[in-house]
Amino acid sequence: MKTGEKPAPRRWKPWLLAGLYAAAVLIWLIWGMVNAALAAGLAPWRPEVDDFVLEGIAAREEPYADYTAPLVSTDADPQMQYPTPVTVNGVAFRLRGHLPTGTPALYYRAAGETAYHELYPQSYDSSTGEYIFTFSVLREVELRLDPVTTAGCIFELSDLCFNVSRPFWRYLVPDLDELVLLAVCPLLCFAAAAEIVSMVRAGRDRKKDKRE
Amino acid sequence: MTLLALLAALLCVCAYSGVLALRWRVPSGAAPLAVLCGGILWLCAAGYAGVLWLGGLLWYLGGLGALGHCAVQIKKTGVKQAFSALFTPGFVLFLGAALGLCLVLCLRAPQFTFWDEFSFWGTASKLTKLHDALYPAVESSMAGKLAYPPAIPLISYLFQFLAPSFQDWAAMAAYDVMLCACFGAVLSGLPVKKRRTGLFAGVLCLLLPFLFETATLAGGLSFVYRTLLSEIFLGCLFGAALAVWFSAKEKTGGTALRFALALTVLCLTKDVGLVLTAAAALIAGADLLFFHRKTFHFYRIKGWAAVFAALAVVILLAGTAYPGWNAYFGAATAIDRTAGDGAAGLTMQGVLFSGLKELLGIGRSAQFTQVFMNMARAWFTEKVSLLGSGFTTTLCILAVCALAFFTRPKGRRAPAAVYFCTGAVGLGGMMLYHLFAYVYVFDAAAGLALIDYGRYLGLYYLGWMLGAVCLLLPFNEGRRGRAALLGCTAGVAVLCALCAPLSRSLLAPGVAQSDQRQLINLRASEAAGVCGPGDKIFVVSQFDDARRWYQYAHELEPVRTLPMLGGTLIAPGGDMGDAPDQKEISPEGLRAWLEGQGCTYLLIDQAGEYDTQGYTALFTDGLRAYRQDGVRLYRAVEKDDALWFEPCGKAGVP
Repeated sequence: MKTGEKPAPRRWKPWLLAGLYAAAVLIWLIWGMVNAALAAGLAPWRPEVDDFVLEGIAAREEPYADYTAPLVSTDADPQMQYPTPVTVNGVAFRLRGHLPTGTPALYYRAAGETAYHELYPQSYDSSTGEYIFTFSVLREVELRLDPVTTAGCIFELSDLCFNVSRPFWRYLVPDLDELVLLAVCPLLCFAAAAEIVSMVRAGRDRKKDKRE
Repeated sequence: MTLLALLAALLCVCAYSGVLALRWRVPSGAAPLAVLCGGILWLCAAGYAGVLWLGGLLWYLGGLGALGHCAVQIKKTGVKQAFSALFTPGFVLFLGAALGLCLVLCLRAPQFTFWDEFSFWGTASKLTKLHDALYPAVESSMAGKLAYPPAIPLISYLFQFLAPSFQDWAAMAAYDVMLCACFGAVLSGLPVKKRRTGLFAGVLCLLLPFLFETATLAGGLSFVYRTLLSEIFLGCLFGAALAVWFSAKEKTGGTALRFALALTVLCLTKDVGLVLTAAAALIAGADLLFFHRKTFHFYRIKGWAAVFAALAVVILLAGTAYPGWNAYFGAATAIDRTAGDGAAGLTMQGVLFSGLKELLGIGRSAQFTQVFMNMARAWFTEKVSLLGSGFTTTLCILAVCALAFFTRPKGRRAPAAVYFCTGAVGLGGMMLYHLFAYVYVFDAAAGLALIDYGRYLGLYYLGWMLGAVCLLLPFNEGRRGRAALLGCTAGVAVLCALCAPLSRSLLAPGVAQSDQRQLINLRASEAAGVCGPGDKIFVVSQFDDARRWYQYAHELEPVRTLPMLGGTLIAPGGDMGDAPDQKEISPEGLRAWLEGQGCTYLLIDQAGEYDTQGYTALFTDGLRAYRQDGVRLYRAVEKDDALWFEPCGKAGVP
């Protein structure tokens, strides 16, 4: 820089950062609204437990507590396989077990894949025992539900529902991991942008110095 | 409450780091690592002397003193100068990441899930906290089963010292704080002004452990930052030791001392630490001899004498740590750790001798040849990281070293090349160590299958990569260097986002405890409520392959859990099909054994009607309470001059 020249105004930096955060929030809102719209197009429907192919699960003859149609796991890896591929945006059900059931696992596999992917519950309401699993990408998948992982557990799976209709605002509110992404990504992008600008400037200054 | 204890410990670490940075001019990024390593060694010494609690108390009091000293220093030098000396990118990364991880772990409160966490790491940490003593000095259910040196239990003890009870997640938090200190050391060469470089380097460091675990590829949950398994700890500490050396602009005696401290803690973590120490000494030693011999001074000593002094310090500290532990262990438990064990029954020296002999072709066995061929092939085929096999990962590390080479100013490039070559030699040593382990220590089937190959060897690559990142940093003024760092960070971030996404990590909402663990906790808490520290409880857990036994032993501490007789007990005449680890024992035989062990309680964890039939003779009610009411806890009573069990637990425990 020649002496007497004003340093380049730095006022673009806060604007860029604010802009990136605004863009992140905007992208998040658009993503949420698109998901809400897609979900609205899929009506919820209720399959029966009998529609599933049960492995390692048997119906329990004797009644248990106030369970309707209690099931019991006969081995340590009970599985409920839905026979046909479906396109769903989510799966919800209520699970109660006479042993602490831990977290049920929902596995999905798209056509042509050999391995199942595990999906973790989006939400769990401990007072009602309701689990909700949501898919972020809509496509046709085979579903497999592992409700419990202990043999000899008496459990009840009720209010099973494919396609979860959640209140609209739920799609727009992030979880902890999504919140961390929203907080951190714009900052990192800003830092990367600032770094690139600074490198380009340094290159220009060097060329200018070389010419002089 | 436990969170407050963790924060208090963190404050003391910061205070000690402040003293080191302000008074002793230690680069503030590397200070927390030195403090934590020193803390572990201090506690270890206190533990050897049998006064672990006193050692912890003195450390915290010293922390308060350090806080005061920092205040005095800041007043002397002025706030601005002190802050710019202390809050360098390395230190800020340490503090920010440590606070963040403690908070997340407090929110999510994960519990131990891995076999090894119950068979050693977690249980040893719990024992250390419960009894305020190193675990060999403690009578516990795990006596004779625990073997490793105490660095990880001690870091957990240090951070939970002020906490009211032992928490699994707090032990993980202590472990993570140590990792953050390692990352701080990697960044310790960066001055205060280079905030952006620090940000990218910090993100790169924090994401690197995700690169070196392959669980998420199979769709599972990532266990990075929520485990007590030693691999990530060893890898990061190895990388940090290298970083302490390579990030110092001027290599001095202080650098060598901090390098030796980190290596000592490596040796006190696990026996593979010895191999890592040798590799690190080779890498740093080559750098010292080729590039810094003329300028290196060990405090007042200069020239070759300084080099020998540095070597002596490393050997004195790191070399004596492991034998020292063996000596203490032998004295405390009357078990000779150096005696032969493992499949071949050889001592460590015996393994080394036989291994080298067979390697040179003298009397090579078929097993050795087969394992050797498997390992050679595995370098190309077995995944050790998200980047792929050992071969692919080595190529990536070569790429990073090449980037470091070409972005450095001419005349300072050679260290990057030497780093890679000596690192490769170290890798060879690591493979050799594991070759010998697979042949002589593991049993034949496990050795041929190269069990846990990715876990054991991945840690070397992690440390090697961390050191390479550190090489990329110091000469970052040039545009090429900055572009290289930005590129590496972006690449790792994209790779992690694709293969190890946040939704599978510690932050994910579904990070839940296994129901097996919840059940065991429930049943164990009923027993713990009734039993006292002097009681001995026998857990009946049919069809167990020892996993449940380890979890009960962990949960029931300080109540003693009697050793497992077998996975499945069968009364004479019974038939258990293909249940694991069957042991035939009659009711009278079982009674006699329990009497001999001094059993005072019995807990039925897993037992069906069909397999308890044979043992009803042990119970005063013939097990009716269990079958009809689900009573699980039984108390030992004297009846007719023999040991009987009567129900004393609640009905309907799940």
